[in-house]
Amino acid sequence: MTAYLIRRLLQMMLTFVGATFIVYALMFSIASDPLQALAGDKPLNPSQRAQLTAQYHLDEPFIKQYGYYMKGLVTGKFGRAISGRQIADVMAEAWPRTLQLGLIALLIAIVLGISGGVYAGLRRGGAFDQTSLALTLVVIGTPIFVIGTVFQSVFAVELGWFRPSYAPELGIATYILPAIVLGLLSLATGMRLTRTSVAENLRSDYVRTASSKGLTRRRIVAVHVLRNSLIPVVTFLGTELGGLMSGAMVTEGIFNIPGIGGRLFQGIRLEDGPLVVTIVSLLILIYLVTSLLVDLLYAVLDPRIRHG
Amino acid sequence: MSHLLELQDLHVDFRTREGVAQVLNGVSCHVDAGETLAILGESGSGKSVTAQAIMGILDMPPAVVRSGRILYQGQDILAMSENARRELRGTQIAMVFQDALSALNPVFTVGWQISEALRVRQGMDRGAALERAVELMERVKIPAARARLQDYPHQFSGGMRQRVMIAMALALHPKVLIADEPTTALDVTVQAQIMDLLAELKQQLGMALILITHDLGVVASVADRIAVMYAGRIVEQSDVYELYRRPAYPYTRALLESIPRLDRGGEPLKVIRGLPPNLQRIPPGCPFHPRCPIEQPRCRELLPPEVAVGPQRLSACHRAQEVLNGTA
Repeated sequence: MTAYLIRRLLQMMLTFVGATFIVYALMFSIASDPLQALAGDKPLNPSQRAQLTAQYHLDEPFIKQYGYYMKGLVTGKFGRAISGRQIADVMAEAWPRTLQLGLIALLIAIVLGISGGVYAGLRRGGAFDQTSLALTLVVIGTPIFVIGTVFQSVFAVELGWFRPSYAPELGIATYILPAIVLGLLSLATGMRLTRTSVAENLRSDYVRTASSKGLTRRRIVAVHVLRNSLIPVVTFLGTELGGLMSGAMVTEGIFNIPGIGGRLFQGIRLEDGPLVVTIVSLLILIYLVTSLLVDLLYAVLDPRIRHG
Repeated sequence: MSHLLELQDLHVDFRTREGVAQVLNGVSCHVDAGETLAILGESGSGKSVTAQAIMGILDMPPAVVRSGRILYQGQDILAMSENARRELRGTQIAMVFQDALSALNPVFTVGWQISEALRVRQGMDRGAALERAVELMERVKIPAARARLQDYPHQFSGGMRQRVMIAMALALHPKVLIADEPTTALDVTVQAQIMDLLAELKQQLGMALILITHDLGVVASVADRIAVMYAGRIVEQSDVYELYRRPAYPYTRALLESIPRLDRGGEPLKVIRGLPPNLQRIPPGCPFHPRCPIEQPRCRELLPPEVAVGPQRLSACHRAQEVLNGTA
């Protein structure tokens, strides 16, 4: 197990360096003149340009720039964005919002997806099952910006149950509607997965064995079927967190949440290499950590993996 | 005197979208304490459905018990409430399944699974239930039982897994043990060990054993009586010795003749021509007549009743006496 963990951590480091390198290279290649992008329409005088160029190492070769950047990232000095703000400040302000949004969305997807999926799987072919199959298909087929704007106008503007845009004074409650929108796709997929998994496990031989022990159906479902059915679901939903955070860009846009998505979008437009790469690096890190956690959890849930 | 377990004219249908399959068509048999009844038949003959009907673990739907009774200690268990039937499972009638790997839950340790019934049904605490699980594992001769308590099913060999299944079935001291093809998934030497174990346990615990199999060889050494099934009916019932010596049903005779024998080296093996009938369209008359070598015109029209052809011997063939005497 320890050897496995060390191997995984080394793999993670390699992936992390590789991914940041690619993102950095991409940003470097699209940047025509970031200083001019920063200045907008105003002309930039040569002395300003020289000073900024030196500050951001813009005249040095790509590999050196990447070296400076990684050195900063590893030592915790994120440096400044092209706009002049400390990247660390931007992060500290925006990340908590996106993190809260993503976690609430994941929570909604887990709770509703699993309970709905279990219910549908137990009564396969019933009214709830049929309806949810149709609805989840609609959700999976609809782009998130359509769902977002529809939900915003129906539940916030028309019905007035929520605020149509970000309202920090409401605290965590302001994230509920955006989190529903953001989590809906994971919810639908997770629900279908749970449903199929439960229905499949109900037909398995060990369920027959359990009932021949004289156990109640309630116990058979709650202990035997559920434990087996949740293995693929946990694996799926666990890896969704990273996806939810990067997917938050659209949702944040619709509901005006000043989270990481907005900063990322701004950074790409301003050709702000350091900012974009820092944000993407953190997203990659979240991906890597959650997938490691999920793999470890998988081994806990399924003994065949542990001893395999 | 009533038998420990008795099936009376049991009919079971499978109702699917494709139509109704008549899976059991009047099965009657019985078993008493200390006795082994083997139910023999090929795939689709209804032997496993018979076992599942007794356990009450048929998937309903599609299965429907059309008519008949299953008497346990004189009481019709088909008339009982689901709760009352559940109480019987494990404590009165228990079952060992064919493929122990899929029949055991992959995510729980064998100790947990053997002790589960003790904890849930008898309210034993965890420690005591695990102690009892060790005893049960020793009883079915699993070496180093205590050390293996925390192992998972996939860590056992096929034979050991089947022993775990048996230990689990014995946990609540059942009076009837049904073993549904318990050795089919195992290799031959292990098969013999498991059969010996079942026979020994039956003897020690005074249980009734119902052994479901398609393997005539497996039956011979263990069973007291045999019921041969074909197309959802019992076509012949007999004492084992008598059945092997003088079969009274053409299907049984053909089965015995299809076994390779050392003393008939060189001769081509005899086979039974044709296939078992589609249970949605069982042929009229005797269901075996299309494959029967001694078929007569009446066999195509008249369903032969089970007739006594000797003490404790039944055959459902129009020409039973002739088959028995070797004149047909």
